[in-house]
Amino acid sequence: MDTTIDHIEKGSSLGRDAWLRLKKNKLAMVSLVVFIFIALLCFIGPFFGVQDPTTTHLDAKSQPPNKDFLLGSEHLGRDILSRILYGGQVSLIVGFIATFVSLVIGVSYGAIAGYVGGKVDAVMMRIVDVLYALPFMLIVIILTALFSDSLADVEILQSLKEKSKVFEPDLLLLFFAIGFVEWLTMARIVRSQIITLKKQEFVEAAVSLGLSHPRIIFRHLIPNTLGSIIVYTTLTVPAVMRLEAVLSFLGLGVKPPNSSWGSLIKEGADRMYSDPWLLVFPALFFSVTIFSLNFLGDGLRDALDPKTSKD
Amino acid sequence: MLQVEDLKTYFHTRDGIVRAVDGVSFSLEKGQTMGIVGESGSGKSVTCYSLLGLIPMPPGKIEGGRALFGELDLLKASEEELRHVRGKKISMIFQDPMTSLNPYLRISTQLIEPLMVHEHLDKKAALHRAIESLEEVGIPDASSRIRSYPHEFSGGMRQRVMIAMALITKPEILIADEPTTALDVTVQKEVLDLIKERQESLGTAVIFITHDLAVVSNVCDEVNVMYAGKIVESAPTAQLFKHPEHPYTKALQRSIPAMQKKGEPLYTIEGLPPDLTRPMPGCSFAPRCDYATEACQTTSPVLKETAHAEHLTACTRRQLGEIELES
Repeated sequence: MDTTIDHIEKGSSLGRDAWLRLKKNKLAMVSLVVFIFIALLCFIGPFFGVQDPTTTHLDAKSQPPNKDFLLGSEHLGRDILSRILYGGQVSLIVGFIATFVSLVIGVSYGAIAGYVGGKVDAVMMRIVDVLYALPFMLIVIILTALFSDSLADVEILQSLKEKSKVFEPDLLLLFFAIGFVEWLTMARIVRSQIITLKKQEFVEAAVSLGLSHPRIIFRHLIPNTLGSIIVYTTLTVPAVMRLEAVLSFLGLGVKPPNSSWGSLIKEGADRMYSDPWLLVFPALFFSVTIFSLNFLGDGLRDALDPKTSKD
Repeated sequence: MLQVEDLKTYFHTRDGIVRAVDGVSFSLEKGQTMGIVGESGSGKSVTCYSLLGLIPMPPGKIEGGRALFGELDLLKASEEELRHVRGKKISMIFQDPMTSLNPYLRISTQLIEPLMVHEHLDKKAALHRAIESLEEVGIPDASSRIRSYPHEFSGGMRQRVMIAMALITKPEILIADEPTTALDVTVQKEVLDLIKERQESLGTAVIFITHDLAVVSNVCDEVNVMYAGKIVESAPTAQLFKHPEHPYTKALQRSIPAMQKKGEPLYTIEGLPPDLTRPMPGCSFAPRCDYATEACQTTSPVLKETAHAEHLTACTRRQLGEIELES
């Protein structure tokens, strides 16, 4: 009896079930492997003898791919491969932290507004409307102006900056600024889902069993919305990376000589007729990452729905 | 054990105040099965939802009355106090087993929740109890079935799971809100028998909400007939079926297809239930009643004892002995 109980206990988490189902989805697993490979390449690759991403080689400007510059060099002779790898660190971190911030705020905010309903909901959603109406750039500029000095004084951030080649305290602002804007749509999506769900009988049943409201929201309702949350999250990651590129272009994000995928693509696009490799390789990394995340997201959505299981 | 007095639950809607429950009183003894019968919109469900604080407020509002459960007045209890009653001392099973289980959680997770919340059991002990309770409601191979998701069960099986979940904490009262309405006729009897069997072994009192008189005659000790938010007749089951003391009850009985002659059109009660937003001065059944007089339209009836002490009726004419009702 005890062994069966252990068995049931182990197998009863949604996460574990989802993983078992995800393993059967070939496309999702291939995507996961590709994604992990790219991430490892970006974070560990630089330790294995790649050139410095910021050193200029004025004797080797705008080289097409060759044995010194595997993916070519740009107009100041900086190595594209190492710029892509270091830039990937920034893009991936921005993509994930900002998405995570937007996910946590958006899901909780939307779920609470939808569940409580009435006046609370009205007030909470009007706040969202107001934030939506504010120009995004303005928020970021205000945030940067307000906090960048104080951030520069934080010791941990300073030591991080010294250790890593790409990290700057300002980047942290970027993560939060982007997350701060992206959560609005998530909150709306989750709220509308919760409103439909809370009228279902199983919620009434949960109340009649004496469960507390937070428990009902976080254990019963949010798992039911995971499908849409995940699909929207996989759309958020590329959107965030794109925003980062826009901000970097305006000098609010990653500052030259540092790079990110977004800024590399932007630079490459300017020279796509003379030096196409400047555009092709960063774009390739970017698209492969986004593709794998999308397939992975699709796979996760199916895996998290118990009804797709055949075991 | 449970004493409900003059319960009034109104809904404040855009079209006016809906007097869904308007002065309902009853009492429930330990281990007793009480039926509440009435057509859709008669307020039978709202009565029970009010007891557990499950009425959406607003628009709903409890306007008056008391519901003493031991020392505690359920109508005035705080949300916190109610939460300790719900699922622990008073449980509920719902009409539609297809939607009352969370589709995203395993049966095991849902079954152990009340135990973990109310009895603070650890997961392992709770799972032991959950498997036991599934066996008790007759689910074969419970220790492996408990890992299933709701969609892997049939309707009847899900209702068994719901019963197991409602009774897992051994509550003092079980409220069954039309538990067989959404089920197949063949499964209905099994589920009714199961509720009866579990009730007898646990000593739980049951409030049975239904619109099916056949169900009532099968399981209930006592019956309250509700019409337009009020109890119009209350009696022990056998007594009610033998000597209905209210024209509405009699009409309901006459509408049971099994009690009618073959080949004849089925008997139906003429008209519609009254609009609850407009209070009526007299008896709310008067417009549809075969026996109604001028007086019935104007004087409001009171629920009173008949010759039989446990048999109450709200028909003024019957109280005065002006009419005879034969079943």
